[in-house]
Amino acid sequence: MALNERNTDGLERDPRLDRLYPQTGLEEPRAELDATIRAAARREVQARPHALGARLRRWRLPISIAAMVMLSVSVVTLMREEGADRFEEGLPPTMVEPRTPAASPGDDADLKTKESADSVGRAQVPAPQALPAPAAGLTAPSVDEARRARRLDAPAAGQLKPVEPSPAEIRQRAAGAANESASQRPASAAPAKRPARRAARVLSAPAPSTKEALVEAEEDSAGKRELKKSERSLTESRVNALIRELEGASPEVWLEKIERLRREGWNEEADDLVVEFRRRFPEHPMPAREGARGN
Amino acid sequence: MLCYRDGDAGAFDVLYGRHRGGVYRYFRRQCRDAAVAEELFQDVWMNLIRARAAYTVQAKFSTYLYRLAHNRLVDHYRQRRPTAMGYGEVDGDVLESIPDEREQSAEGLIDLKQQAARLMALIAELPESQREAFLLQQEGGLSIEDIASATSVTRETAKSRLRYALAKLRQGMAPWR
Repeated sequence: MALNERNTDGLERDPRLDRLYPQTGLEEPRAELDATIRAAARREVQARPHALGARLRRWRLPISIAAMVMLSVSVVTLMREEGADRFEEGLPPTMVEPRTPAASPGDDADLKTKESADSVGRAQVPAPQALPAPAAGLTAPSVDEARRARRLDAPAAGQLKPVEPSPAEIRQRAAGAANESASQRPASAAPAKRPARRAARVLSAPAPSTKEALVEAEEDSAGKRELKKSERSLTESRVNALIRELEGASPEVWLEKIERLRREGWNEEADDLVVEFRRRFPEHPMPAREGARGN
Repeated sequence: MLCYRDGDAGAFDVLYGRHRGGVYRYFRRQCRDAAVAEELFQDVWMNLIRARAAYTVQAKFSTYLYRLAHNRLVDHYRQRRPTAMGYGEVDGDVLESIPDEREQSAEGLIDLKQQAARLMALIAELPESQREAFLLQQEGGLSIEDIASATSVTRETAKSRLRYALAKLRQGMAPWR
């Protein structure tokens, strides 16, 4: 028999030696030694039935996954909050939420109230003063509503609470607040419409570089575009609600509603309603003022 | 081993039953003193028991076990450099019973036991590293890669050791061809 046989998988073996080797005697450990070792193994298991390391290893993967999920959720939540802040900062005056009923626009106390309310939680912000609604089922969009609209498209206008001030008041207050915050900001800061919270942040931070300013400007313009979209969406929702409300009403009632909207400053909604009125009642004469507007 | 790590004492009995002979002979054939071989054997299994909580699957269990055995043997060599390995004392009667090659060829009597005794003598004469490679292959059933892993050398080194060991054994066993 050839002693130099090799198998093909690179493992060097000699069949003759393989056969001969077991004949050299199969010595085994003594029984006492076996018993000693086996007893030691059992003692070890009884002392530590489930080794801590083994348990940790078993839970390592689930714990890692849970930690990653929590981290991701935290980061996403934080980013959303940051995004909401930017959104709020970019709101035009019509969308700014009235802070407190008693305080004048841009009041320091008002800002502090807002700051503390933000830190505690938005749910604790005092409810805005209830002012007469411009029309049945019609409200000015609050900041939260606008935020909701951005996330979930436009909500149904009928779900909005009629507790907001009129558009003119909202604009007036927001303009005051914006002017005040602008007066507190350094000359190089971003547009004057920024709320005081942003102004305070800018004051406490070092002056932004040109690059940072550019980034901020980009963020502002993006936020404004987004805001316009959501505003338009809200307007459409409100107009749809009004149309539903006026369904089956006489042309006089329609005109009365349009007139009322004009009086209260809801011109965009009134314009949309006029378009719908003309579509529904092409024969009915328009009041002179509406006719002039249409022209 | 994973079952034993997780608290199944019965799993250890299975493992021990499967490998006790091989590990014991691995030591027994590298140490001339049976007591030392038993001590090293016991140490290896105790080390395994103590390390059960930290056990992770990185290689075949047999490779892991023989790595422990190899390390223990190296420690032993370091503590006390062994004298020439051999079986003159332990298996003296066996070696003495090996007939002279010329007598064998002349008489034409080839006994399997005599061949085995001769093989034992040849194994004992191998250099430590070559003997270890051969024993790991025979007792542990390890491949060249596993031998390399167990003895912490490259694959080529393990292969070379094994090749030299086989060549010497073949040469020594040539008269019985």
